[in-house]
Amino acid sequence: MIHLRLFSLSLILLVILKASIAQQPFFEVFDLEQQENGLQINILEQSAKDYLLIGTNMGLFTFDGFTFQAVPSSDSVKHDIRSIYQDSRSGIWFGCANGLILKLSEDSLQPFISEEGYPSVPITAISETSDSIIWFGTYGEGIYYWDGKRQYNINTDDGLPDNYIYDITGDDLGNCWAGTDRGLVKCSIKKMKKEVRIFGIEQGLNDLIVKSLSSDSDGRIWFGTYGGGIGNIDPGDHNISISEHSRDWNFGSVEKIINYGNIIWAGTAGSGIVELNPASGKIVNWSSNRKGQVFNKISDLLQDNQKNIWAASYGLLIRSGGRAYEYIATGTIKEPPAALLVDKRKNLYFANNEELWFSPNDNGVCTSPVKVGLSSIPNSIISLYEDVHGLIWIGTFGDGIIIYDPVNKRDILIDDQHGLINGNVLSIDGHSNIIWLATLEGAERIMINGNDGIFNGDFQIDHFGRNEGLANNFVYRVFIDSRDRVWFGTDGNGLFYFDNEKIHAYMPGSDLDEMVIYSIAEDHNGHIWFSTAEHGIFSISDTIIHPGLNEGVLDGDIRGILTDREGKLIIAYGKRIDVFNTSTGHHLNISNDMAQALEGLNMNALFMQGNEAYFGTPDFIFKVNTSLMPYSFKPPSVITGLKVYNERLSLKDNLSLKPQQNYLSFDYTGIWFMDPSLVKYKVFLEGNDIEWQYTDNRTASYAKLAPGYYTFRVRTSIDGSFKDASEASISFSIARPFTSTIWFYLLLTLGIISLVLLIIKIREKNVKRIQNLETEKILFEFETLKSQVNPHFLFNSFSTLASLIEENRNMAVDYVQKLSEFFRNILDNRDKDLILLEEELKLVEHYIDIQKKRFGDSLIVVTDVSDEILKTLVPPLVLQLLIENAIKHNIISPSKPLEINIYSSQDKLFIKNKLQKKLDDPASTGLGLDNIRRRYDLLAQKRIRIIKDDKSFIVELPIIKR
Amino acid sequence: MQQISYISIWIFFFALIMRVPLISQDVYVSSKGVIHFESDAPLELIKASSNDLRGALNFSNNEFAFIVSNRSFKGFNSPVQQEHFYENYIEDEKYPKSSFHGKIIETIDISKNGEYNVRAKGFLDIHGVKQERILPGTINIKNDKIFLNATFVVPLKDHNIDIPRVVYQKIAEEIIVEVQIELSPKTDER
Repeated sequence: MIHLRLFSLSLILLVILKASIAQQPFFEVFDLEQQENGLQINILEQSAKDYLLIGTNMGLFTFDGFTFQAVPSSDSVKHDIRSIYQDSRSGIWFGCANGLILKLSEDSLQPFISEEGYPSVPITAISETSDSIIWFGTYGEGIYYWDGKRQYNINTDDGLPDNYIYDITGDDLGNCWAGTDRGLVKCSIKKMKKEVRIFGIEQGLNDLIVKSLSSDSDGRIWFGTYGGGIGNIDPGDHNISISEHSRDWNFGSVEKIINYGNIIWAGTAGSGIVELNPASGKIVNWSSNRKGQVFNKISDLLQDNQKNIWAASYGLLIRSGGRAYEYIATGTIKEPPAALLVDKRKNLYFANNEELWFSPNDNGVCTSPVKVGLSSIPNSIISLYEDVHGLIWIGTFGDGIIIYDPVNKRDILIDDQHGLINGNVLSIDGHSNIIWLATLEGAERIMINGNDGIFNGDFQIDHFGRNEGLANNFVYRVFIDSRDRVWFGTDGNGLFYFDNEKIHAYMPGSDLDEMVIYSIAEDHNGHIWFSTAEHGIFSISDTIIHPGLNEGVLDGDIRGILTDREGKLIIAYGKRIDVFNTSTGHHLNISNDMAQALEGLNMNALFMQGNEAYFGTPDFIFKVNTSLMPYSFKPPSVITGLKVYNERLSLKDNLSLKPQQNYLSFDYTGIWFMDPSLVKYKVFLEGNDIEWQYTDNRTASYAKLAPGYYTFRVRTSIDGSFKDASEASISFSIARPFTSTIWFYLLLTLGIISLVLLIIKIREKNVKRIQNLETEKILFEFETLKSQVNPHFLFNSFSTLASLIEENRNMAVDYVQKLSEFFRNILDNRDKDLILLEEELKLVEHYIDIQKKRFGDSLIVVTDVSDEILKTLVPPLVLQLLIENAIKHNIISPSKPLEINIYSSQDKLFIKNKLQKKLDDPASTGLGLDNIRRRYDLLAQKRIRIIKDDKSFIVELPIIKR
Repeated sequence: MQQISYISIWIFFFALIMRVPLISQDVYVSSKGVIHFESDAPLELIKASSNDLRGALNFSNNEFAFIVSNRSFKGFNSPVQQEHFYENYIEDEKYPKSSFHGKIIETIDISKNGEYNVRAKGFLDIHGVKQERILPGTINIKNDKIFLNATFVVPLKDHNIDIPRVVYQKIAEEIIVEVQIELSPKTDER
């Protein structure tokens, strides 16, 4: 009995599984176990900077679409992270299995320190209430809350039914909701008093064990139970409502609920992701993807701000675009469909070759396709259309058109026998009872009378060819716009339209005349768009608009265009599908890794209904819902790292760097999880670059930056247009080395000024000295000359000469010669500053000889100067002057002869005479000695010394060396 | 109101010490107890302590309490300071006792020697104001003796103890309190 029941249950399950597998979202799987063996993801969160935070049993990771980056912790421990919460002030909290609470600070995990310490059991959930209180749910110690200063605890002593908390969530009214084994609990703090209220089966819960909680945009608290499915409660009036489909829930424990559009996704412990559609009551579940990767145990679900839904299952991270991107399996049919149609009840028809397939819609899910049995077997189906009565028109390649009535299961073939000129029906469109066909011999109009006219033969076919104004017989596309104009796309003759019972060429004489037009569509503003074989797309409003490469549109290989109700244009190429938002100008390539599959896309195998587009590929039918796409196709720009000489610095704005820290590299990312490879970058270093640099790299390096202020800016784009691109920037400054600071220059200037001043002063001093010397010299010369030509000297000399002439003529001649020699020497030397002592002594010798003629042996001059000293210098006529002085002031007589000694000792020259002053000593002017003293001072900065006692008078002259 | 809280603590003590032989092996009472506080203000460091601290711990339900007479604090810098403490701040005539009464959150195996980090959740009653607190501390089990140690901060504002503006620089806003209790199993011979 039990076996039988199990068998039937598994049969039902099998049917459900088979039915539901026909249509499901794409699930992209990342295996984090490749990072570390045994890694399991516990919790997911999106950071304020848009990247994902992944809490695992082996620490925290971030994910930017490209790489998983382990986040270091200050204690270097790989914490088992069980809960993550980003609070209203952008602080990010982490709860660990060992009770530790961490916070993210400057790119690393730091322990959260409070006086009360940490719980000693796992922290299962963290949340916040509107009063900025942070709540922690623990597995064994109840609930803790942190009011910014102190931690408090709520446990069974305070009325909590159980200390084991599975999940908590804060609401807008300041309540914290908690799920336990003994019901749903509402906690609040009113004036420092704890209030606890328990909701159990009696209050309307379908299962006492509440495993997961979340709140929706309306503020309702959703709960997932262990075995009773899901429900929600209004936090205000406590009205509990249980989802209808939860009545016989067989998907097991609900670990996480997210509200996504108007549907709910629940992550379960054993049945993967379960989707509930409250409107339709439909419930489906998925636990593997198209590639067979299994994710049946979901630990967390997360919806990011780009409308991706993330799931975690063991070590797998799973991304899905939700119902925005789905595939409908076509089973064993591997032929690419030639034509595709979705009828008003969202049933799917598609055809390849002679077969028409029907995939009925079961509450929003297309089920496995079945073949439509037609009485007339066509050669090849190439177009499909549903008319106002729900009849399916099947255009064939050469065999005319078949009209199929899906309600009454009957069909009829219309061909040349009914007056159809050409049996190749490439495109069909219609309004009310008028159907237009595009054929290889012009267009055909079928006007039907009454609801059933086509089956009763009550219709009329009109032909429109060359004669009627269609320049080309090959008509590829027929399209009826909202104003009931009928448009025709031709093979090389451009666009025509039918209005007021006549066919008109659109803009004859323009470039359009020679174009091959494949598809025509109308946007939400009533503008007509069309695509050509080789010249891209055009839009007709008042003027013709041709979005080209600058707008991100390629010219060739366009298979067709579709428009949605929100201004998005879908362009299907041979290898990709772009969504072009005509209001923002942004492009989004949505084909991801489907390039290969799209190569077989046929012109009639794309179909739009409302905001849902369908594309038939050889492997599956690709379904896109443009209204579920992110509104903006702009990846946020994030600067993720800064390195100086390969050393990581923490990211702070207005960073001050040293002069030698001038080799910088920046890491950045444009986050676009759906397809990170699309992201393009441009970077600009303000203060260095002249223009933006375009790059695909996520690192920019700068070497040898000069001191100054810089701002690094990065913008990202997924279509390369960089229209209103988001920007991230970081400013920093590189300090000037001291040698280029204002202080340095100031100091340098000061130094130079003082140096110049010093030089000027020294020069001035020198000039003054030279001037003084000059004056002294002139004065000395004058003195000397004066003394030499002084009447006494001349008188004495002449009287000596007179007596000599009488006594000895020869001696007189000799005397005159000596006298003249002496005067010549004076004249020779008077201009010089210094002369050799040798020369001076020679001069002195002449002078003494002259004087000796007068004084005879009463004048004794003894010279004893070392050879060394003879080669030194003296100011000219110094010795002569001193000797003259000695002669002038002292008694010279045979009884008292005057002895003058000139001698050297060590480095000095001495002139010594006995002191025997004349009684009528002429008053000494002292001019001579003073002059000598000053000359020595100026010439050599040396002093002369006068040693005078009772017996002798000595002048000590310093030596001036050459 | 505060009268009732003392009564409850006293009842607890009474219950612990005087009877309940059934769970007596789980009940530990203080054989020694020291409480010490420190006010580290910019201008003055005030310290005082009391040996009159009594405590009790019931391992059957983790209940824990201690109580001290405010008049028993000694060791102030000066007799004047002591007088101020008694009369102006703690107001011991109105509020003769300070106490804590709560439960230890962690469960501890008293049969095993060793040191355990614990936190006691309960109400700290000072100056007639009860504040819910989680006090972190350590329990050291050595055979029959249990040494309990806890350090915590008491913000004066939390307990309505006003500091006159004049002595603002002399009294810290937060007082550091250290409690050391030696506990032994309650004997039931009498």
